[in-house]
Amino acid sequence: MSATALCATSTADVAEAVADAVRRTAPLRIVGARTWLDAGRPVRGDVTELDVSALRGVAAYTPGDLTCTVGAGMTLAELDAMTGEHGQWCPLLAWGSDAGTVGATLATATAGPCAAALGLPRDLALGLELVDGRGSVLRAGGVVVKNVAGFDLVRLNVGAWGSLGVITAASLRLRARPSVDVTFAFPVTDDDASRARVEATRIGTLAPLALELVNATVAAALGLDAVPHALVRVGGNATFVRACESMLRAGGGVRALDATAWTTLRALEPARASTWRESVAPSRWPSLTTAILRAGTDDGRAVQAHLGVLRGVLRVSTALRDGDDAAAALRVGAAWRSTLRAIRERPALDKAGDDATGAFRVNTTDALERRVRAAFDPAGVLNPGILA
Amino acid sequence: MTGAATGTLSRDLAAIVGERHVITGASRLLAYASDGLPGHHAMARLAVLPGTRDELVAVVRTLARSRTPFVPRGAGTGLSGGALADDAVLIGLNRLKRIIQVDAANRRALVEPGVVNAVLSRVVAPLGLQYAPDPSSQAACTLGGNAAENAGGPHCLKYGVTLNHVLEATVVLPDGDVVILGEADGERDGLDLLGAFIGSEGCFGIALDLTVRLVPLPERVITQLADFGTVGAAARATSAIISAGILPAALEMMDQPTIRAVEASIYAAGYPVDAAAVLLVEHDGAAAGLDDDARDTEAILRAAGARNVLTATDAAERSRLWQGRKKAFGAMGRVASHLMVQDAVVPRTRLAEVLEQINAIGVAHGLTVCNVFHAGDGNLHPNIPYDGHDAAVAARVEEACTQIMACCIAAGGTITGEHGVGLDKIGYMDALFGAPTLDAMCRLRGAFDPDRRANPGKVIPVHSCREWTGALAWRAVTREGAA
Repeated sequence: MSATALCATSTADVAEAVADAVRRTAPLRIVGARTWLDAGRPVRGDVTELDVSALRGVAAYTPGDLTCTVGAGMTLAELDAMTGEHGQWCPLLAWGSDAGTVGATLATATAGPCAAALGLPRDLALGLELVDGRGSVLRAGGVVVKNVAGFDLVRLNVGAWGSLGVITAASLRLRARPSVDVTFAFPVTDDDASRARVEATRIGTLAPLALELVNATVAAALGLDAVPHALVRVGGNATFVRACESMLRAGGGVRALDATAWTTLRALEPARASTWRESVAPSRWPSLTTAILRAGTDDGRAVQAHLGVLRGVLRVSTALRDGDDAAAALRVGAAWRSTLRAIRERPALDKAGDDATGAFRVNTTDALERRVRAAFDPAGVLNPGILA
Repeated sequence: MTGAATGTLSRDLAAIVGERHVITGASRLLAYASDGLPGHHAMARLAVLPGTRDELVAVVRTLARSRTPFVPRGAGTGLSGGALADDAVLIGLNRLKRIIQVDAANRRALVEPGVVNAVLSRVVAPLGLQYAPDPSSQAACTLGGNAAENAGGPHCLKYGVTLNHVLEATVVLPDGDVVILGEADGERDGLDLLGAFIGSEGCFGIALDLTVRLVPLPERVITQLADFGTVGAAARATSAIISAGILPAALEMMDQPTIRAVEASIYAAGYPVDAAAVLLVEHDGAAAGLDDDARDTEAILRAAGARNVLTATDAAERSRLWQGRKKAFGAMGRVASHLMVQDAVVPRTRLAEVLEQINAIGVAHGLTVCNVFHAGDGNLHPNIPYDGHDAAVAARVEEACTQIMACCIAAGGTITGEHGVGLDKIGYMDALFGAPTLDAMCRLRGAFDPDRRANPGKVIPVHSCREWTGALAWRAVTREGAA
């Protein structure tokens, strides 16, 4: 952990801090709201914290264009309040608390339950201002919704965990909030009828904004009966939403939920938890249902499990107790990890080469990733180890 | 490259793909000397046409051994001069046209790069699916080319551009290494190298195959045509529709010169020739609620000053309305021997003023500018029919284009929304990006292609790359080798 912290109040401050770190070969740990500090991959070495949470100004917001440019330190809650005044939102709706920052959400590419319908962080970022590992200020992308000028430094840095550059500002694509936005829940069980109902929702004309299967622990936290449920969020004009509701209610057992259920769900994971994430091809979601629906406790601790059916992404989280160390965290999740890895089989699409010459052998991207990191952070001062 | 070296390379490549798939000689290479944008020409040293992914890998490895620059090429429909090979080896990908697998349950398909865009949609239509990005050249352009350019199209307003529809790509890097970028099965940790690869204009390697998203065919489609007495009113209507929270599948604008070119051609769609501009608005999706969107849109169009709003719900009528839009570029071909097709993006709220400025630039240069474009995205296509045989006129077109690009940049826009930089826009890159950003792009290219042999001389101006070694260095090496 660092002995000192640098608090940047401008992009120039960030550039100076990075240049100084390069001169001293002293790595930096970039922090925003400190809501998610290591994700199990701690930054290596004796680091100095570089706090960018003060970079939270609004450089531009043109509601008519549905775009805005804000400082990386702006929180998701602040962004939501600003855009909400104009009936708009930036639907990052990422897992975690809305106290998290725009910069961290983009840097970690943290998606949320609506990502399949409303866009991943990479889809919502139009432009970035960032400081690379040489201390140069880069302005990638732009403020318009289509842009193919030059190589895509925006996509490259979204999800790079700050290892290529410190994001200081972001231009974001906004959307109009749906005129009607409702959420329904219905109980699910581990049988074919339940699976068929969820599958019909996944592939039907309903086109939900989100479709999440939650285990009993999560259901209870959302104020539902403590049994597994499916949560369905639909949005659009009133006629469309009425049609969706009537289709859902035909299956029985449906209860309407307040939209705040999603805010609760997104922030439900404990601050100190052993969390595992796994993804499968969306059609294979039924292979995960038994694991989800039966998830109860692990070593006497309550387990939260939920599956985004539209993208086939499962998150399982178990709270850590005071005194639990890294080894304990691994132990708590070990059973889950092996279950999930067993479920994730080889890809459904066969990419075999055309003949037996072996020319088409696929290598890992490790060497390429190393070259990219060296190109942007040759001294290795930006969050070293965080992507290892 | 010396004649002897070319001969050796030609034999090595023929051993991989067969003699008939190695193209040499000026007359046969002429077919590859330009793309869809007249004005740029370059002759390849030779062209090689691999027929399988393994052959493609072997070709790239052979070129890597001799440090030979190469240019990948799909259907050659690009509009930026990006697929031109100037004394480099051109790798044609049209023979790689297998749809390897359609996974309807997961709404995705695994395709080779030479599959034609519209063919994929046609093949998956019986499954109730389609491939959404629909460039105007979709009847001919390939999915590999679409990925290289991050191509768009009218329906990208609602569905997103190519980047949003490629889940995974198997890529042969310029050094011959084969890697998988992205993740077809959900989330992947690590750098978004697929995001960097899409739109890299053939400078980062060649896709051996692509896993693309498919989307359901809509239950219902409604198309509206609104005509306006002024371009500004049509532009303001565009902004008003999007601001109201309606997301049409497509929102296209054509101005009067375009309307008149279309109506004078065999593609006549019945557009009112006295209109200053028309908007083509399409809504699609679930049947429930679609009429509400169309009704609300019509009210906005009328409030913004539309003289008439025509609504088409049957396929024949919709097809007629779209015909003029889809064939507008062809219709302009009747106006003059050459057509400068431009591509830029501005914020939607600046459309009216930018269109006014573009018109003024045209008038000042004695040129007619035909605007037909994706208004909902703010993606302009100012097109200039001209006589390219007249050097003075060609120079005026060039000057007008430079001023149009400057005007779009000044409005907060960009120099290309879907056509790419290639050769055509490379001169504007300095105006859009600062030196550190251009240098960072060069460094990224160097990570994928340390020798800078893939599509050399495109996208980034050479002077922007502090560490550029490029084609000149390669030529020095081959001269040394020959000596």
